[in-house]
Amino acid sequence: MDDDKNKVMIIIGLVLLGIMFIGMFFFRPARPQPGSETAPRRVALQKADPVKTQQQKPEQPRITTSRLGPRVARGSEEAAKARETHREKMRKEGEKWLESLIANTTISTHTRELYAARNNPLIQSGVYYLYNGDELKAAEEFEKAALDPSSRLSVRFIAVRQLFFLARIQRNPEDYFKWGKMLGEMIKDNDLSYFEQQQSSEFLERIKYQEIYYKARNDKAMQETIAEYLLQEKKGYDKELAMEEVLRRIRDVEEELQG
Amino acid sequence: MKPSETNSPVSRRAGSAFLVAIGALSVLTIMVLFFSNTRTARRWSTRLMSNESKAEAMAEAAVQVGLRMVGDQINTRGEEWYLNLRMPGKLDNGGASLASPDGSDLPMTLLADSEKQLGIITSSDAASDDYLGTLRSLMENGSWTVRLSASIASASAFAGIDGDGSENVAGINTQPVSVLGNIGKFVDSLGSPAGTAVPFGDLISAYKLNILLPENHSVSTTEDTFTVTKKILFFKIKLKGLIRLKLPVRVTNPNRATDRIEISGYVSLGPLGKIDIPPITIKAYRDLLAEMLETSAPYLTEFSSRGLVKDFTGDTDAIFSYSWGESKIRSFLDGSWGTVSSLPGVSSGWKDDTAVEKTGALQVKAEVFFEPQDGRLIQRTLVAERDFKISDLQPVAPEYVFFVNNSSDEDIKFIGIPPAGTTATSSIHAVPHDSSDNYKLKFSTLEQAFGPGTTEEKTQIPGMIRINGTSNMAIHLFTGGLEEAHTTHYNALMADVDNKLRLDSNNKIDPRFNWLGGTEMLMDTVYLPIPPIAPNTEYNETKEGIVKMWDVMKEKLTLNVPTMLFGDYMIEYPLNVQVEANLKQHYSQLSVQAKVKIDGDAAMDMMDSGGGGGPPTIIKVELLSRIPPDEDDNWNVKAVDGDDDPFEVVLAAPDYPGPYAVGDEVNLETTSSLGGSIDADTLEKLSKVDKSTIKIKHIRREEPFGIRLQPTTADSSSFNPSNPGTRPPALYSDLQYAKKAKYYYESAAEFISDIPNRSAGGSFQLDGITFVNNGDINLPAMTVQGKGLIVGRLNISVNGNIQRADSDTVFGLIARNGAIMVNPGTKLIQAACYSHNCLQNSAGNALIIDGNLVMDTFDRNLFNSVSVMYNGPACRTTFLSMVRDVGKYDPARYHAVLGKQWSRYEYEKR
Repeated sequence: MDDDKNKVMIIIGLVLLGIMFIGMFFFRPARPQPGSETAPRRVALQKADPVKTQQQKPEQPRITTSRLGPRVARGSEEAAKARETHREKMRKEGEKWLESLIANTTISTHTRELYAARNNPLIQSGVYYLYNGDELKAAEEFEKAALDPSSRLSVRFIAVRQLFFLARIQRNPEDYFKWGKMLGEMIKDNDLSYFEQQQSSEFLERIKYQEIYYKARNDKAMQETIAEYLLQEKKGYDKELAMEEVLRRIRDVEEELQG
Repeated sequence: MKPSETNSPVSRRAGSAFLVAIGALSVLTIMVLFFSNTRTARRWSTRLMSNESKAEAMAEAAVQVGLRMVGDQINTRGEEWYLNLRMPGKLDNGGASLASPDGSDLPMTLLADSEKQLGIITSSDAASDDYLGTLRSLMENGSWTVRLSASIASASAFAGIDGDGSENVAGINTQPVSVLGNIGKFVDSLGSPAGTAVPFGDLISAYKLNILLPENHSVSTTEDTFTVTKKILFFKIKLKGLIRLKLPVRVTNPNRATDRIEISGYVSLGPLGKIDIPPITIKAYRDLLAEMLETSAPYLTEFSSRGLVKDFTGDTDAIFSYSWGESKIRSFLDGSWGTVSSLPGVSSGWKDDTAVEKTGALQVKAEVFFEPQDGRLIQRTLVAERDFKISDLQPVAPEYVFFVNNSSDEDIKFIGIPPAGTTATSSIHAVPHDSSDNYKLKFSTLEQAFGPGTTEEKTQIPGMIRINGTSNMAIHLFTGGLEEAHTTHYNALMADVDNKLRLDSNNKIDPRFNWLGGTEMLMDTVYLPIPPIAPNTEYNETKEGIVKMWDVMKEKLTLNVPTMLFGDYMIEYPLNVQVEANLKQHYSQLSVQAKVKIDGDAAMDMMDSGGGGGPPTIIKVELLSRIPPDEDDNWNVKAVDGDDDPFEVVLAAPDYPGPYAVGDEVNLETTSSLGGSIDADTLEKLSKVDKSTIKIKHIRREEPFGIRLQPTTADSSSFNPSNPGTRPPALYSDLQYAKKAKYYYESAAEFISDIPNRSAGGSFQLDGITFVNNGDINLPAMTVQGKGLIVGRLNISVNGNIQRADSDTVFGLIARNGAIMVNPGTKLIQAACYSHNCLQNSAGNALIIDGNLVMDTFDRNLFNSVSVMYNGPACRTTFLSMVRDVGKYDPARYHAVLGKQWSRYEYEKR
C-alpha cells in the first residue's frame, strides 16, 4: 500500500518537475524580434544634407484609376464651359481691338477698312460659303451685306464686288449688270482710293456700254440704232464700218461675259 | 484480512506530510531552478542582445546611409545611380502598349544587372567624413565589417488606361513617322543616310524680280502699232501710232531682263504733228510690289529675296554662306551618342519594347558582421526598399515649332473659316528669333548649326511643322498689304533656283505679257483675291490702258486672315524645309495680253487743250512715197531735221498749183512732246487717249505648300492621325503624367497657393513634373527656373507673362485635356506649350510663344495674333533626346524621385 503511495508521490513529483520545465520554457527571457518596421534611427552624417527627395504635397500619390476615374469626364464639362466663356471674352476683346484699330488714324485707311470688312459677320459668312463651295449661299450673305444700309462703305463695296465676281463666275448676265452698275455707282460717287479705286464713272460707263451691246446682240433694230449713232456722233465711220464696229463690240462683250 | 494501520512503518498522516513536503520541495526546486535559470539566461542573453542590437543598429544606419548615397546621385549627371536608375528595361508586353485595362503599371525587365556595391567599411578602416565614414564612428567593442549594396528590386512602366491615348507614346514605344525632306533626317536616326545640304544662299536666292518683254527676255525693245482715221475740217487724217517698250538698263547677267521697263512712243497726227508718249518707266519691284511689300525705302531698289532678308534681319552677307545641312549637327550628336550608347542596356536602333521611364523599388541591402571582443560572430542583413520614379521631362514634340495632332482627323481650315468674331494674323517662326533684340529674326542664330560656329548642346536649329489630317487643306500665298507687308508670301515663288525659274515656262514669276494675238505667256504670282476660287479654273477679264496693264497684280483685298507658316515674308524655313501636312498653297497664274488702241478724238482734244505739252510748232517734212490709193493723197513722210521714224500723212489738196511729188518738202504743224514727269493729271489725260485692250486670263493654281526649290515629298498616309507614329513625340496621357509627377496637387487652388513655397530668388523652381488634377489653373505672371513640366489635367488660363529665368531652363506647359487660354495683357509665354484644345488668344493681343506649340485641335478663329517662335534648346532636355530612335536612352531627359517611406524593411533570416 505504501509502495503505491510512494509511486503516486513520485509520479506527482515527476509531473511537478515536468511543469517546472515547461514553465521554464515558457518563462524564458525575451529577445528582440526581427522585421520591425519602426523608423530607423537617423545616423548623423558628416556630409551636407542632400537635396530633398520627398516633396510631394500632399503625400506622394499612389495613383490608381479608381482615384482619378473617370478622369477625362470628370471636370471636362466645366472645362468646356470655361473655354466657351473665354471664347466669348475673346470675342469681346477682339471687337474692342477692332474698334480701336478702325479709329486709329495713324494706321492706313486701307488696313483699317480691310480689317473692318474682313471681320464683318456677313462678309465672314460669305467668305466661309465661298471657300467651301456654296456660291449661292455666299451670294445671299454678300447681298445682305451689300444692301444693309448700316454697313460701312468698305463692307458694301467688298460685298458688291464679290457679288459682281460671283455673277461673272456663274455667267449670270442679269446679276452681272445689276451688281456691276451698283459697283460702278459706288466707285463714281465715293472716295474709295484706299482700295485703289479712283473716283470715276469709267467703270459704270463700261458696264452700261457692255449692257447696251449685250442687249443688242439679238436685236437688229438696236444694232442699227447704235450704228446710226456712231455715224452721227463719231467721226470716221460710214454705215458699213459702223455696223461692223457694232458687231465687233457685241462679240467682245459676249466674250467677256462668257468668262 | 484488512491491513493493519499499526503495522505500517509510516503513518498515513506522516505520509501525507511527506507528500506535501516533497511537493513543496518540488515547487521550491522549480522556483529555484526557474529563477536561477532566468537570471543566467538573462545575463547571457543581455550580453548577447547587446551585441545583436549593435549589429542591427549598424545595419539600420547603413541602409540610411545607402539611401542617402543613392539619393544624392540620382539626379547628378554621370553618377553611378544617376545612370543605373535610368537603365532601359524591356517591357514584358513587348512594347505593344503603354496602357493597361485598369491602369496598372506594366512590368519590365531591366536590360542589365542593377546591383551596385555602395561600399565596404571595417573597423580597421580609418575614420573619414564620407558616407561610410559615418558608420565607422559606430564601430566599437569588437571587429566590424559592413557591406552595403543597392539594386533595383522591381521596375515597371507608367501605364495609362486603354483608350486614353497612352497606348502609343511616340518616341517611346511607337516609332514616329519619318521626317519629310532630305534635311534633318538625323532626327529620325543617327544612322539614316545623310541628306543633301542646301546652301542657304539658294534658299534665300539672289533672284530679282524683272519685267519680261513679250518676245523674249533677251530682246531690248518691242512695239505695237495702231491707226485711227480722223477728219479734221478738210483733212482726213489717218493717225498712226506706235508704242515702243524698251529695256534701258541691263544687269550683269546677259540672260536676265532688267527690273525696269520703259514705255515710249508717239501718236502721229499727220500734218498736224504728233503726240509723243513720254517715257514711262515701270519697275517691277517699285511699281508692282513695293506697296504690297511696304518696302519702298531705297534699300531695295530692285526686289530681291536677299535684300529683303538682310534688311529685315540686319544680318550680313555672311549668312548666305551657311549650309542648311546636318553634317555638323550629326557630328555633335554622334559624340553625345557615344557616351550614351556604352551605358548598360542601351543599344542603337529603334525598339518598341524598351523604355527608360519607370517606377519601381530601390533595394538597399546592409550586411553587418560583428565579432565582439568576448563573443561569437554576429551577422545581420537588413533589406530595405523604397519606391522610386524615373520621369521623362521631355516637353512635347521638341523638334517641332508647331504641331497639330488632329486626332479626330477634322478638316482643318486656314481659309474660309466659319464666322466667329474678330480674327487677326498669326505666324509660325521656325527660325529662332533674338529675344534680347525685341524678338527680331536673326538667321545668324543658326551659325552654330549651319555656319562656322561650333555645334553644342544649346545650338539653335530651325523647328519643324506638322499638321496631321487626311483631308486636303488649303492656304493662300497671301498678297500682303499696307501695315502687313510681312504677310506677303511672294518669296514662296522666288525662293528657287534662277535657271529653273527662267527655263520652266510654268514657273516664271516675272511680270510679263504678250501682244494680243501672240502666244499666251503665263506668270505665277501670289494669291490674287479675284475669281476664280476653285483651282485649275480660268477667269477672263478685259481692261483698258496699257499703263494699267499690271494693276491686277496690286489686288490685295484679301478677305481671309493670313496664317504665316513659314514666318514673315515666308523666309523662315523649317529644318526639313517642308511642312509636314497635306496642305496646298493656292496662288495665281496670269496671262496678260495687250493691243494698243488710241482714241483719236481724245488725242486731238488733248492736243487742243495743250495737253500735248505746248504750242504747235512747224516742222518740215519730206514726202517719201505715195501710199495707194493715190486719190487719198496718202504719203509717207519723214521729218527733214529729225531722226524720227517715217510716218504717214494724208495731205489735202494744196492751195497752190501742182500736185505733190516725191522729194517735196512740206511744212507741217506739230506739237511738242508731253515731256517732263508723269503726274496724275497727265496719266488721266493719257487714260482718255490710251484705250488699249488688255486681256487678262487668271488661273487659280494649287501646289503643295512650301518653296519650289525643295518640293515636298509628302505622302498623305504619313499625316493620317490613325497612324500612331504621327502623334507628337513624348506626349503622355494625364494618368501617366499624374503617376510620374513629383509634385501632385489635387486642386488648382492648392498648386497656386504653393507657388510661393516653391519659389526661390523670385523664380518658381520647376524641379520635375508638377501635376494638377482638378480645376483650371489660373497661372499668374511668373518666372520659372530649372527643368520640368507643369501639367494641368484641364485648362490652363494664363494671366501674365511667363518667362524663363535663364537659358538652362527647360519648361513645358501642358493643358493635357484642356486649352491654354491667354488673357489680355499676356504678351509672352516662354515655354514649350501643349494645348489639347486649340490655344485661345484674342485678336489684337499680340502674343509671342518663345518655345513651341503643340495642339490636338486647331480652330483658326481662336488662334489670333499669335507668333510662335521656335527655341529648340528651351524645348528639349538634350539635343540627343530629339533623335527619335535613340533619344529615349539619353539619361539626361529623365528626373528621378525617391519615395518618402520604406516599402520593405526586414532582416534576412540567418
